Amino acid sequence: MTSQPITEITRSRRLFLEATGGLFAAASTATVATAADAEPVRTAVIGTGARGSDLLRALTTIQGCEVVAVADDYEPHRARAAKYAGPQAQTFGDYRQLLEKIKPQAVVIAVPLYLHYQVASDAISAGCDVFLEKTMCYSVAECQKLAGQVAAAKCVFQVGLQRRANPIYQQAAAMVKAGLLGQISSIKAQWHRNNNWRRPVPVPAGDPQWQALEYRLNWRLYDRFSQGLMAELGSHQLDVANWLLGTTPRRVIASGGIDYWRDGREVADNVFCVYEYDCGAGVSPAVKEPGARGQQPEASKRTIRVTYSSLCNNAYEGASELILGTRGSLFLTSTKGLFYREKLPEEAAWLKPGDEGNAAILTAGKTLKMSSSPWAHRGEPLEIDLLESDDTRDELVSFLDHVRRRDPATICDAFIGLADAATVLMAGEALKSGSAVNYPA
Amino acid sequence: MGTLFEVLLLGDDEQHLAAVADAVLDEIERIEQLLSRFDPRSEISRINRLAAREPVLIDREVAQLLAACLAAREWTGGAIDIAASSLASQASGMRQLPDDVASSKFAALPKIEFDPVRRLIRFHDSVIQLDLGAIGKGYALDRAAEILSENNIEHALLHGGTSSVLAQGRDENGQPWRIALRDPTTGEPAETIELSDAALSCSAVNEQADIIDPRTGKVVAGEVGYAVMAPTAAEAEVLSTALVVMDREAAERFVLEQVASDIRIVRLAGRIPEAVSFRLLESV
Repeated sequence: MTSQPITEITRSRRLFLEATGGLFAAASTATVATAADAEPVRTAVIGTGARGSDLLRALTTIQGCEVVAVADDYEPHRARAAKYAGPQAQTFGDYRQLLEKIKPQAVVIAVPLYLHYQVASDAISAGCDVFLEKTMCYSVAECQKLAGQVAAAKCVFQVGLQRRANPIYQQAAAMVKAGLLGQISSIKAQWHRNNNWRRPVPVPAGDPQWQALEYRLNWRLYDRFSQGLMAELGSHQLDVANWLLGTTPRRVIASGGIDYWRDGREVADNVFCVYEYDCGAGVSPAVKEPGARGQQPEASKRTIRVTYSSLCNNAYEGASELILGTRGSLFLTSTKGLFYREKLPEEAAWLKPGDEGNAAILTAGKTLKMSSSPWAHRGEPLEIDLLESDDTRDELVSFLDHVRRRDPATICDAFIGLADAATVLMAGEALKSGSAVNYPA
Repeated sequence: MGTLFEVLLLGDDEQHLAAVADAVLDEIERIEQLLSRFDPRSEISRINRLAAREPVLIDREVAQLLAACLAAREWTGGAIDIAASSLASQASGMRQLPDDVASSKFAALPKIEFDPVRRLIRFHDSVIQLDLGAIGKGYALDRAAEILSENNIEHALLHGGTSSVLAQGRDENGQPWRIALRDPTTGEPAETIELSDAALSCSAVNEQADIIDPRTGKVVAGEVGYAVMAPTAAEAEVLSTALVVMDREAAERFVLEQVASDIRIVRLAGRIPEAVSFRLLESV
């Protein structure tokens, strides 16, 4: 078949290409009727790297939130953010100018950790409500100052520990509280991954700009900007421990080092910690335990140990927390929870009272099922699935809701953020000193 | 998507390549989390849950992609329809929808109101579910290609589920990347295609893979496959899917009337790949 080559792009293909090519769609005139909203919350995003972009995109999907400005001092991130935010948003290289000129009601901050305090403090001084990414601040002293400022300003303040907004973790907290796990024995949490935890630097290593860009993009790897794996990853999971145990740790010992990714980084590429929590009856619901016979466990404090590890060269079981209790074990991730009952002797079917046929065996009182499977003790789990949720979006919905209601009791307020920061930073101190470190007074 | 993605990057700085590869996979994962109708966190899941109840405000990127999908529907005469395909997935369990359901449900679509400027979408029928399966992999590869160019990677091969491929630059011998196509019926290697700074997508119907015609709700009959090479992976994927859905005459007419010279198409049918009459085939 012969015909003239088509040199003109047809109209519908052009529409298609325009819409898939970049971030700006060709406009059409269709309209969808929607209920008129109350005055939208004028929101700005400061720091639009990977995490800031996630938060920004989520904000653009929330009714009643208007993204009025974005700021980042790195041009490529600023340009990308401008596209995500839309044409109504002004862009700034300097966040101070944003605060001064735009005067947003709410500010969402996702800058490198060493800048958290300064940016958040400036935003509160400018009269803003603040959503601050975790970890709250680079040091406990900064957290304390910021918490004081939040209290004095009576602003709405939330730290971005999104598991607080995740229905799986909310369910887990309810299960622990209801005693479904019995007494908490221990918590084992980890964030293991198998990569170098680096962001690509867009110039070759010999380029004169490389070092500055390396610090800017890979700030997580350098001590003066970052508190390493504990702050960047562990903060989420130690917050879960603090939340479920209802308290903060008394003491921590830790070990770690740069043992695999010896690429010039300054922060450890593997970390192991043991935390000691003094827990009272609050986390040990009144469940009669065989071992506790004759004692009064509710009345006395006991130590619960939480182990935490983070690796960058093996990803087995990924980012997860395992809550161990005398009655069951709860394996938690952001998208799925699994509850395994402990196989206690009383749960064996033939142990039910009144089973005359098995009366003789009853006196033995224990079951032992032989199996070569290393997982045989776990049995079939009860699954907790995520049905409709995105915890990053949900934490922002909750924050904006509190802003609108002028309600400072956010799902992760300054005190929770401070406790979490103190928990992860004490492990950092223990890593460096090699000694046990107590929770700061 | 639930698809295996692989990334092959060429260069001399291993640390940089590893970091870029991770960034590429992160981006693909981000797109998956944005578009997957199986992931409850995705924008598409949120739309599917809510849009029959109320207008849903959606993210700019998804709004743009939906605009593209609606344009693709127009471009392909309805052979691509992101709103019909969930009905189609219900149908594939029973081979095809009963005729009355097919005609009433499919013919009437789309019952979607979409305002790309205010980024609002609403369904007027609770049976509607969006499914971006015909574009998602390609779109993810195109976004991944942006990460490559931002980081000065010139030579790379990416694929999603082996059916969508994006090739940049040359292979390790300085030659165009060579991709072998399988015959959709026999599974045997049938044709080798050279690809450089372009994308390739293959779609086929055979005993293993049903494709439903969104215009009728019926399973596409016969055994046929198309390989489409285009400047972007999204376009290649949309076209290969659309061509499989069309009958042969319609496909040839579509190619003649609607497909420009920067696109190459190979039709694979039976044991031997036919160098069919599509005029753009001479360079294959």
